[in-house]
Amino acid sequence: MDVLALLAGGFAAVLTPQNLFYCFAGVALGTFIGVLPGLGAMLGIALLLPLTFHLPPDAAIIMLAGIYYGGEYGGSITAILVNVPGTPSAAVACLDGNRMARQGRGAVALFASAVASFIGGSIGIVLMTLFSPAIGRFALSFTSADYFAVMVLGLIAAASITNGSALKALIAVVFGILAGMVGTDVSTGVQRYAMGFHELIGGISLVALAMGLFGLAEVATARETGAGEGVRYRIGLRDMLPTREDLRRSILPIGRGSAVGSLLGVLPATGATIASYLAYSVEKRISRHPERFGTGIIEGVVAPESANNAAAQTGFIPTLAIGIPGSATMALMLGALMIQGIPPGPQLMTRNADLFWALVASFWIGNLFLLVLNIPLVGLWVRLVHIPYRYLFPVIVCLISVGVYSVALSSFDVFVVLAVGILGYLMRIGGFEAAPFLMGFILGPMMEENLRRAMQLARGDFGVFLSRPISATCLALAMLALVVPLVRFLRMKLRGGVPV
Amino acid sequence: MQDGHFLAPRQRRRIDRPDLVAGLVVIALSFLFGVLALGYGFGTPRQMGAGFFPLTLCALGGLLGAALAAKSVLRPEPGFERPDLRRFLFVSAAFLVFGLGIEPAGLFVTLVATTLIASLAHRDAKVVESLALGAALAVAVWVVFVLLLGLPIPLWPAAR
Repeated sequence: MDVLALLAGGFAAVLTPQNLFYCFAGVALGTFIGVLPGLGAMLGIALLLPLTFHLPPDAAIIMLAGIYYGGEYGGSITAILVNVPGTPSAAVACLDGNRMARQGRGAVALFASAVASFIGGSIGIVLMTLFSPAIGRFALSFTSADYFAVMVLGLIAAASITNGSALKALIAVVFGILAGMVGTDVSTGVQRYAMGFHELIGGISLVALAMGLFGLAEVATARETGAGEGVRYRIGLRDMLPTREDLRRSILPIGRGSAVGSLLGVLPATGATIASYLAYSVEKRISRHPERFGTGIIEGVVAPESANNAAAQTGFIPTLAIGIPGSATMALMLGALMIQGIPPGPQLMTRNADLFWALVASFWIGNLFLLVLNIPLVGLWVRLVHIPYRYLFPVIVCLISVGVYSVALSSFDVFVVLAVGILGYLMRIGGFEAAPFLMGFILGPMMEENLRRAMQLARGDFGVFLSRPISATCLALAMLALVVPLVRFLRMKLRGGVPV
Repeated sequence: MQDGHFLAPRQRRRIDRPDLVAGLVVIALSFLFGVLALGYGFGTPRQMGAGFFPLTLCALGGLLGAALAAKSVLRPEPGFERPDLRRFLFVSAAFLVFGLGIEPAGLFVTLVATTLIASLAHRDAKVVESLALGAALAVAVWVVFVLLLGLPIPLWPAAR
C-alpha cells in the first residue's frame, strides 16, 4: 500500500539519533511540564519555540508535538495522585483516578492511564495516517472563499466552546485578529498599528506573543495548590499490575473513549479537554451502574485517558491536511511551521510529504517513549509535584526572557512579552481567555488574505460565500454556533430563570 | 493584604459590575483601533484597502463590547476575585529588568538580578536561595545558548 511505503519513509527519517533525541526530549519535557500543576503544554511549547528555531524543521516539529502529547500524559499523573489536574484535559482523571489512589490503587490507576493513553494515541495516529491524505486532497479543491469560511467557522466554534463567556471569547478573537494586523500589510504595503516602532514593521513576534500570554500572564495568575504536601508515594512495578478483572472491564471503555476522542480531535475547537469529558459521560450513560462512577472505578480512568490522547493526535489532521488549526495549541504548532518557512495548507502534504510522514512516525515512537517513561519512572514524576512555586517563578521568567531575546537578540521583544503579558493578565482578570486571542492572531492574516482574494475573484460580490457549497455550509454552521446560545439566553431571560 | 486565593470566598474583595467596565473598555479600544484604521485606506470590497479588514473588525468589536455591557446591565455578574498583585508586579518587574539589563550589563549579572526580583513574587522567597538559583540559571543558559547554540549574547557588563 502506498501509505505504508510513505510511513516507512517517515520511520527512516525519524530513526536517526538526532530526531530520536528531539522526540525523546520533547515527550520528557512535556511530561515534566504537564506534571507541574497549573502549567500547561502551551507554556512548554512557547518556552521551547525559540530553541527549535535552531533545529531543522522536522526535528523542531517532532519536539514540539512531543511536548504537546507528553503534556497530556503528564497532566494525568498529577490528577490521579494529588487530585489536581496538571492540564485542563486531565481534570476528568481526578474523578475516579484520585479515588483509586485514595483506595491504595493509585499505581494501578497510573498504569491503566498510561496504557489507555497509549492505545488511544495509537488509534488516533492510525486514523491520522489513513485519512489525512484524503482530506488533504479534498482540501485542494478549496477556493479562497471556502478557506475564509472554514476559518470563520473555526474561530466561532473556538469561541463558543469555552469554559467562560462565549461573548468574551468572541471579543478575544476579534482583538487577536487585530493584533495579527500589526505590521506591514502584504497587499498594499501600508504599515498598520506599528506606532512608529520599526521593530513592529514585521508584525508582533509570535514567540513574544505566546510567551506573554501563556508565560507571564499564566505565571502571574497560576493557582498555588500546595498539592505536593502529603503525597508520599513509593511505587513499585508490582503495585501497578492490574487484576484480570480490571483488564476485562477496561477493554470496551478504551475502545469507546478512543472513538469519541478521535472524532472530537478532528472537529474544530473541541480537542482533548472536551473529548475526555464526553468520553466519561458516554461511559457513565451506557453503564449499568452509573452510580459507581466517581467512586474509583477503572472505567472512569481509561475512557477519558484514551479519549484525550486520541484527540491530541487526530487534532493534527485539520492542522496539517488543511492548514487550519482546531485549537490554540494547534495554532501555535502551525505558527512554528510557518516560522520554519513551511507554508500551511493542503500543499503541505504533497510539497512537504517527508516532513508529514516523519511527524506521523515520530508520534508512534513518542508514544512508545511515553509508555517507557511513565511506567517505570513514575516515582520520579511524583517527586516533581513537590517543587515549590517560589523556584518556578524565577526559572520560568528567566527562560522566557532568554528564549525570546535569543530569537533576534533584541530587547524589544522582551518588552513585547511584558506588554502582551500585562494585556493577558488584564484579560484573565476580566474573564477573557487567551486561547481564542492566539487563534485569532494566527488565523487573522490568513483570513484577510483569503477574503481579499475571494472578493477580487468575485468582483466584490459577497454572494460568492453563499454560492459555494463548502463555504455556505461552514458559514451556516458558524451562524448556528452563534445563534443557538443567544436564543437559549433570551428564552431563559424571558422565563425569568437564571441561564446557566 | 493576604493572598486572595487563600481567603474564604465571602472575604474576597469584589469589583462591582466588572463586565460593564470590560464592555466599555472593549468599545473604547475598538474605537481607538478604528480611528487609526481610518487612515489606512478603506478601498472597495473588490479592491480592499489596508483599512478594510481592521475597520470591519473594529465595528464588530464595538458591537460585541456593547453586547457585553448590555448583558452586564441585564444580568449582573458576580464579580471577579481580586488577583494577586504582588506576584504580577514582581514578575513584570523581572521582565523589565531583563529587557533593560541584558545589553548593558550582560547575561550573568542580569539573570541573577532577574531571578532575585522574580522570586520576590513569592512571599516565602529567601535571598540566598534566589542568588544561588540565579547563578545556576545563568550558567545553564550560558551553556545552552552561548556554548551550544553559539548565540552572541553579551556575558558581562560592557566596557564604556
